[in-house]
Amino acid sequence: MAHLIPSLMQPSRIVILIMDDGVAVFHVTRKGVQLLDDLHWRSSDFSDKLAETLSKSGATSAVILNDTVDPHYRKEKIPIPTLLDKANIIKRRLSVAFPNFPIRASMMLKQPPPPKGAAKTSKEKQEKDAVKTELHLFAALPASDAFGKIVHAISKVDIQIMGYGLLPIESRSLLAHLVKNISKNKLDIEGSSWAILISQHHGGGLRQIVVRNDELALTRVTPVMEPDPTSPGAWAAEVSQEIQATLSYLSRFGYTPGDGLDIIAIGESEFLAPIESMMSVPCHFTNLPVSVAAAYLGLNIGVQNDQHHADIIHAGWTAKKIALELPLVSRELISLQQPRRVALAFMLASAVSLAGVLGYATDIGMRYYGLTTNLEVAQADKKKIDEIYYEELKRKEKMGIDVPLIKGSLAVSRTLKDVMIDPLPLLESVSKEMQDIRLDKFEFSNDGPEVLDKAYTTGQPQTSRTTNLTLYISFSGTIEPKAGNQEIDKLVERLNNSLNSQGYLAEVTKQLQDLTYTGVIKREFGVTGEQRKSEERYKAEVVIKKVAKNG
Amino acid sequence: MVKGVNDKIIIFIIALMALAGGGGYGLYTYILPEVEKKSTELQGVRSYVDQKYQEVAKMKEEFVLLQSQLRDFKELEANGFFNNQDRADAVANFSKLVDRVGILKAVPDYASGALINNQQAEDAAQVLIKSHGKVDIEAIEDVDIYTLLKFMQERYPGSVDITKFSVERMGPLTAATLRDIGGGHPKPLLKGSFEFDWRTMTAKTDIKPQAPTGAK
Repeated sequence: MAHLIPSLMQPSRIVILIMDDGVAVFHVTRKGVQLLDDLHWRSSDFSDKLAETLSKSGATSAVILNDTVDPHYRKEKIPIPTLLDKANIIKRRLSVAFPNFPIRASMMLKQPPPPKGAAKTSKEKQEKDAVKTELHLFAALPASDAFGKIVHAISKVDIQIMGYGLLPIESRSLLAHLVKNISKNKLDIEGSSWAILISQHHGGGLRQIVVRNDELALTRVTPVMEPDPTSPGAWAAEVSQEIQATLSYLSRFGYTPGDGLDIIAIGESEFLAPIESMMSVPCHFTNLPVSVAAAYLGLNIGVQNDQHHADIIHAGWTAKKIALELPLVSRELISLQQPRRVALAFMLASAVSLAGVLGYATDIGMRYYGLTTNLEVAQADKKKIDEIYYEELKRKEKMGIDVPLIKGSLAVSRTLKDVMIDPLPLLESVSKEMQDIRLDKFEFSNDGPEVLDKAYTTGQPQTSRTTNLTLYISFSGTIEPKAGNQEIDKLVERLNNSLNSQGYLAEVTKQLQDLTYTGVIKREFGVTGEQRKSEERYKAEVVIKKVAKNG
Repeated sequence: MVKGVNDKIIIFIIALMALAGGGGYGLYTYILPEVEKKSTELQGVRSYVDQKYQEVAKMKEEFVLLQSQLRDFKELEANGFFNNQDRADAVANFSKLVDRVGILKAVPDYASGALINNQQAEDAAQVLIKSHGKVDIEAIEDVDIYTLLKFMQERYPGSVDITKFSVERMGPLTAATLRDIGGGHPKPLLKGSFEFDWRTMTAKTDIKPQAPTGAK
């Protein structure tokens, strides 16, 4: 199962380096880069052996890297009218460029700087061009049995295929890195436009990668002899010849000595050192043993006895990448990659779903645990409060207290006290103010609706009780009515002074005699009149009303 | 099973999917309802506990309050507020009061009692009885009438609410009247009356069933 886990999670990757005479299988892990096997095309059971090597490695993904003479390269300027058409145009141009090559790919290159002195002209020309053009590098490979054998071997093992790349393309950035890092130590090589990387690989081929301004300009792979420690000069001479041949090609690509040239050769210093003296052009020549080159590149290749063959550097560099710079597309690879990618996607989706379910289940579990704990606490509280409640009930029962009866009866009593009026204090106050005025009769009333009735107490229109005390007063018939009226008025004044504080108001409802123009006067004069006066009495009435709210 | 992918991987993916699916199904079918059930149960218990706490607090508060109200209640009880207005007792009690007052004549007249529809009495499993009464009086001195009225308000069992009260002179005080009084034949100099509402409270079980009426 681990074979389908992305290499990002477990950086263990196989690099299958395709060479002209066979393949070299490298295993790249955190611990370093290890050459697992070196298989010749003609070896028996090639696919089975390769599959076994891949299976035993335990790697999670594989990248195929081509280091043969087979790849064909072409740079093309492609007019791109619209971005939507770009992909189709490039695809069509690629198929036109390499109609007989089933494995193809393209990548966009940086526009080369305009030639000196022609900058203005070029700019004007570009402005005139209505259609934008892009510079693309096309690469293609012919169909071969060798590649079919590799695909067949991979199909037998569970391993993700990162892609199929071309070594010169993928190692272009390796050269740029080396130049950059070496230039930090050697200030004199800074500013070169051209750089050549020279390295010998296990198949015996000498790989030369030439870049101009970090873009691939030329690459060559030529068979050279293996270096002989007894005569290192012979190997150096052969390599020097190859470099000279490359330099002769460079002049066709516009190389001039003024552009500056960096040559970096990876291998044993013993074999590389003589080459520098054989160079016919001015250049910055640097030779690096394999482990030093790896250190410059930040690669961990582990302890290596072989400090000459540099294919391990290329393998380690390519394996470090997240994606290839120029992944070649082939039907065979797609038929292997797609189901595995779909399976990986399903596996990831399932794993994420399972993780989600587990996460949610954990959350729910925590909630459930919290609820259970809280419920236990609540149950304990319930038990406790029940005990307290029953204890309280028992305590009241023991005391024989009927709470509703006490509350109800006291409430009724309070309501009644609020509306009841004792007439005696009122009468006592009145009697004090009467002085020598004769009271014949009084009538007291304090009446109203039943205040205790539910209908009255729950929102019915409330009517206050009406409280009145009527005083019936009489005077002797011999008194002058005017004087009698004055006496009555004085009485009322005294009553009000005394009773106002208690909420009562006194007023005269009947005077002795109406002495205004509305009054009716009929009086008898003479002896009989005087006699009648002494027998009759004048009557007056005073009413005392409760004006403050009552009930 | 699938070209390019090992069967073990397919089985592993199916197992993963089955685990995720089964786990999700189990979660939604069994675990979540159980959590909801527990949550509801917890809310119920908490609500019950809160309610009981409030009841206990109320009971304790009432208890403290009742300690102070108990004396008033006992006083009410001693005043005879809790009786069923038995007419024989009513007349006997009135007679006792009249005997203590030097009054010439007192005629009590009790109307039939009625039940008052009162919520507080209902809550206490009690009923309120209200009877309207009228007493006609004749006396030589008005103070005797006032004394009887005071006794009625203070000593008569239950609550006596005076609604009407009147007194009037019966005629001029003459020498003949004084002679009669001095000769042991007292003649009333004053006549009066008072009306009252007599209210008491008694247990529901002490009275015969009767439709409550809102008495005036």
